[in-house]
Amino acid sequence: MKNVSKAHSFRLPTKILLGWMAALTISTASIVLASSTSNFTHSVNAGTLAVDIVDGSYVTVGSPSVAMSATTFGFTCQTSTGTFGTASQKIYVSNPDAADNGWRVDLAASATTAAWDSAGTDFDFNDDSGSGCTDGADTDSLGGQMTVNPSGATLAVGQCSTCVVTNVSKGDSESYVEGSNDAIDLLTGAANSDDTGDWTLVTVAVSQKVPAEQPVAADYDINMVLSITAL
Amino acid sequence: MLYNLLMRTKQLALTSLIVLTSGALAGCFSLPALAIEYGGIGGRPANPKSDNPRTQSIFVHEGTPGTVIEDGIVVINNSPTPKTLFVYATDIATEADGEFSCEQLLDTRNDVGTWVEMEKSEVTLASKTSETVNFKINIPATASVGENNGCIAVQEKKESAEGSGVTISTRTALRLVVTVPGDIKREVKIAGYKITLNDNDNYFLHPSVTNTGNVSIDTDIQVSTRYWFGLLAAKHGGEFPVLRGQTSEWNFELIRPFWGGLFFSTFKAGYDPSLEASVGKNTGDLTYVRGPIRLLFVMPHPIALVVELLVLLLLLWGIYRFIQLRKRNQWMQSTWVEYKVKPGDDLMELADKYDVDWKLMAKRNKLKPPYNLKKVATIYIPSDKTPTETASSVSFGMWLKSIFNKKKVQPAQSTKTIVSKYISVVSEPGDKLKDVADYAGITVAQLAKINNIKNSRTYKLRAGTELKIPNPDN
Repeated sequence: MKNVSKAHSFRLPTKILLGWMAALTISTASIVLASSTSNFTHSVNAGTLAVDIVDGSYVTVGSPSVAMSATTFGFTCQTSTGTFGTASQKIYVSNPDAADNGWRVDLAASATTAAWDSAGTDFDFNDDSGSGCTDGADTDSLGGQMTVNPSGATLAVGQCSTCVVTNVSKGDSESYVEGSNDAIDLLTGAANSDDTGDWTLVTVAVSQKVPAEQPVAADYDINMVLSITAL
Repeated sequence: MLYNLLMRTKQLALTSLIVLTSGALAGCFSLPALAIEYGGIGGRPANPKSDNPRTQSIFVHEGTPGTVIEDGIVVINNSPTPKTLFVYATDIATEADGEFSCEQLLDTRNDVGTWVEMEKSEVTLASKTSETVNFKINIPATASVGENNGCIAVQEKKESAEGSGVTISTRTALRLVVTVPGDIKREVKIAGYKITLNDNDNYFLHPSVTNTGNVSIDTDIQVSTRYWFGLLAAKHGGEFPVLRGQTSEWNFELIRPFWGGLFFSTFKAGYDPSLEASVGKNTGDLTYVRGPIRLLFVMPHPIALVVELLVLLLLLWGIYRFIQLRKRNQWMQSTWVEYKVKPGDDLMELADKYDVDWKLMAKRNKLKPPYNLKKVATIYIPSDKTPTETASSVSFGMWLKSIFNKKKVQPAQSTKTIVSKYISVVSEPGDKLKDVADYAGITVAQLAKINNIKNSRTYKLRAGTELKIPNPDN
């Protein structure tokens, strides 16, 4: 009969000891103790004033775009609309103390001579003739005009928990006119806005006049540049 | 065997517990991953000047025609992926609202953009790296005195996307200021002030100023909107650069006030007129020029409108009542005459005789309950028997009704042509219901019924109690 009354002395089994040492080694592998003193180094890259299009997690959107509403071929001038800045493609401004006297965000075409292009059939974005529907005396023979209206957009603080939107103002509704209004302001941060801060802007209304009898095509596109300028 | 199994299980559990605990504890003390949350692409001046903090953000130089200035831009890629970036100089363009923008990479350069010679036009940077790109500014011999502006821009090199509507690329630009010394003029003038309604049903305040000088001026814009009685309702503003010769206009959003009302809005623009001031350097003494005052009437929210109308009506009724009371007092003071009280005179009878409310007569003569005239030698009574309105007889509801029904409200008053069914008497100390009933010539039961006294037997009549009795004249 086994003597169960025998007292068992507590000795840490070998297997447990080995397991403990292994766990400690694995979990502390990120700390390399080369000597009796340890030097932790870390570098902070210089921040830069920047504007970008990001998703809801503030990850850069690889190919940001704005979808415009489709129009049907017609014999009269039509208006196509779209929204610049959505929950999945937010306009994002970041100022990590890089522009201390203010900044401005504007939207312009890649060139003043740019146009909505589709395999040889184009229409303009910055011709104000005929309320934006006909060709005027600009450098091309295309009609059409784009209007951008940030006044009804929603401005909010980004990831910065202590920042405010005070002294950051939205632009007014404007239309592109070649040579006189080639860039439209979306946001302006005054000199007394937060020197370190980030902001998002969504729901900027975009509308485009499509001239009468514009040929049918499914791939009209135009390249725009979103700029932020340190003032 | 069972014992061995139990021991092995116990050891296994203990081992697992130790491993898990060690791992958790070690995790608390391991180095966290330190990372910049967002960086993007852009640039900074490579050689900021210690005496001008503005040069941390933009390029500020001064030079005579023919001078070559060397500088550089730190091109930064803080994104998580390698980037090829264009680095280029460009002209400034002035937009319709007077603000300036940097022209595009593909636009033709005609001005300061042609002065700059970049060491390279493209850089390829690994993630989280930067590189300094030097450039030279060749100030032409024909450069005008004063300030000349351009931009140095950093833009990601991207293939043009096709067939996807509006495609967006981004860039960061830094203003380049080159001042040619000479006859410098610094002056800002008011260009105008307008207020418009925006799509959010709020207001945009648009102050505008013109820089009539030949250098840019950092202008302190202060917009104040006040209630008609002077209380400050909202403040807007900020400091903005206005380029030489340009008229700049801003948009400040005024949230629609809930209560609405009449507002005065104006602004002032402050700038440093000293010739020692320049971009990034001010002497601190600002001169202010004031803009025009604009009136703004804002319709209140519907709920606020209802509340305000009620308050207005109450106020008007209060004024009406005040005027009536004033008229009454003036009438009493000017027309009432002294009357020598005769034995047996009763306040109620006298009031009835002269067609006035007995309460008014008591008030005029400062009589207190039980309104006994025995110890009073003289009282004032109306000199004429023309009945007059008593303000206390017109309630707010009656007045309000008169406005909407467009009928004049007649106050309750006695006239010679109307003989009331009852008159009021006031009991004196020691009076009982039977005394009043005897006085009126009726029974106690009838007196109780007229005055809604439920139990006349137990009712205790107090001095100064007003009771109704049949009008002997009816």
